[in-house]
Parts: sequence; structure tokens; C-alpha cells
Amino acid sequence: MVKHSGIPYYTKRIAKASLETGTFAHLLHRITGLLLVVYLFLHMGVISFTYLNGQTFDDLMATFSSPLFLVLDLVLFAGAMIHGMNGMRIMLFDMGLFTRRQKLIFWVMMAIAAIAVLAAAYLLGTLEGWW
Amino acid sequence: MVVLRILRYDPAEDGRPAFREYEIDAIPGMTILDALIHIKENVDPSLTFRRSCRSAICGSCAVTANGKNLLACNTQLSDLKKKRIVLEPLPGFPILRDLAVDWGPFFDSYRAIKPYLITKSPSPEKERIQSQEIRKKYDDAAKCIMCSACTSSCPVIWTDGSYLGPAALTKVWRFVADDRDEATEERLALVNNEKGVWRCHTIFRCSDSCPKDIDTAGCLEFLRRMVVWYSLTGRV
Repeated sequence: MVKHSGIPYYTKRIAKASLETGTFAHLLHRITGLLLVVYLFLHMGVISFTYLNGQTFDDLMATFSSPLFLVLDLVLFAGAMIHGMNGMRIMLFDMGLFTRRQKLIFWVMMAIAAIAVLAAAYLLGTLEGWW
Repeated sequence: MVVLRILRYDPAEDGRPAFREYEIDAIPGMTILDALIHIKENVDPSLTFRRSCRSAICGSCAVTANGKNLLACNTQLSDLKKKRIVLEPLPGFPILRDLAVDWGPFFDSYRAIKPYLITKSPSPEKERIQSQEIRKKYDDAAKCIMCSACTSSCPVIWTDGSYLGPAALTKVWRFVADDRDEATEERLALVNNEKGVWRCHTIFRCSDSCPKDIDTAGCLEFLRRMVVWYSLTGRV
């Protein structure tokens, strides 16, 4: 008997599945969700360095103010926006709105996320004097 | 010329399922089912698949073509816009042979939700009358032909086969929305758990794959709101 459910089966099937908007949104939601969870633990770990290594909080912040980390911050923000806006999209459906328009709503939400990320990048660049 | 890449599996040969390719001359208007029948009659009589009505009513011929669940009888080869079409049996169910799957799990969850009218009040002299407005409310859900394209395309079913699945839950909504049915609390209690409405991830593969264009995910969302409302008012 060929196995037909379980995590490995899901992974195999989703890799072969047709990528309609809803499926694409689901994958994006999972990936950004995992990213945020990994970040959360990384964040807690890094903050605890002030205690473990005896570094001051200001020392630590100086490291994280380098351009590389600021760009990574933007990536994090983009992940959070995508996850959050798709979450809002799903909440709309839970309220009984636009279930027949789910594809359009996904792209509307992603456009809002893209605008927010661009605005954040502009703000960051201005504050850092990059342009 | 179209290449059909079909997943073949024969339990008697004790091997893993493997793909076999068939080249056919596609005639304009030829459906996937026409192609399968052509192969069975002219190329390889051992090819196994289900079909019955050939007019998208019986729901027997649902297959996966290029990763999407659809009815073989109402999808033309040209609709897929590919020269190479990968045909697989419906995922999430045990394969019996080639494109035929065991629908046991599908009908088990269908039976579990009591897919029949339940009444408690004494029968009226004639029929139980229903207004056209109420009938319209569940028009969508009543269109279901039980081809299992939705349930089988659901990524949650791929992870956990014990989930009731979109087809069964849409049927629950069909009876909950029907004002002649008098077991709403019982039905909602049946789906108010992690195997029922709360397992859905709102991925919309069910709605996308429905050959009858039912807003399956939308029906499920209706059901969820009803479960919430009945829970808040202490009835479930």
C-alpha cells in the first residue's frame, strides 16, 4: 500500500501541486511564519547575550546598526507584512467577505505589503542618510 | 501530438507506482477521458480508470492533471495548454490500480456527518414546505456531485487523513442551511472539533478544483460562523 497522508506525503504533494493563488498564499504564509518563529528565538538568544557575555545593550545595538543588519531588518519587516496581510485576508473570509474574490484580495493585500515595505525602506534610508 | 504521462500501479506486480508515457494525436475537442478511452481501446488495454456518465454529472472520473484535480470528462486536452500532461490518481486516497483510488475514507467521512434530513417534529399531512429564498441559500452546496476533487486536493487531507474534508463539511452546511432539517445543534457539535471546521487552513484548493464551481471554502466559513454563534449562545 502506498502511503497517502502524513507530513512527508504533504511535502511531496505540495511540491507537485498546481500553484493557484490560494495555494501560493498558503505556501508563502507557512514560509514567512517559519521565518518569524526562527527570528523570534534568534531575537531572544541575541538579547540574552547582554547577560551571558557581559556586553552592554548599547554595544549590541551598535553591531545591529550596520547596513547589513538594517537590510536584514527590512527582510524581516517584509516577511511580517506578507504574513500579517495574508492573515488579514483570511480574517476577511472568516467574516464571510469576498470568498469568491479571494485571488484578487490576495494581490490587493500583497500590494499593501509592498507599499509598506517600500515606505519602510525609504524611511530607513532617509534616517541613515543613504540618499 | 500530446504526450500523456500516466501514473501506473498494479498491486499484483508488487512494485511502486511508476509513470508510463503515451503519445496520442489530439483531435480538437478531445477530452482527457476521450484520450484515456482511446488508449485503453487502441494502445494499452490494461489501463484502469473510472468513468460513467461522460457529462460531468456522476463524478466518477476525477483525476489529477498537471497537479490540479478535475473531471476528465469535461476538460479538453487543449484546456490544459500543455503538450505534456501528467495524469495521476487523486491524492490523499489509497491507490487501487492506475487512476482508480479507494474512496472508502471519503465516504466514511461523508457517512459520519449524517448526510440526510433529520426531523423531530411530527410529519405534516403533505410535504414540508420550503420557501424559494431559503432554497437559494444553499443552492451552491446542493450542486455537489461528490467527485471528491475538493477533498482530495486539500493539503490538510494530505497531512491528516482523518480530517472530514471540504466535501463532507459542505454537505453539513447544506443541511444546516435547510430550514426543514431539525438537527442543527447536533450537526454543529459534530464538526466543532479539530477534525471538523477548525482544521481548515483556508487554502481554497477545494473551491479552485470544484468542477461545479461551488464556493466550498465559503460554505465552510459559513459553517464556522454558525458554530461560533451557537457556542456563544450556549447551544453547542
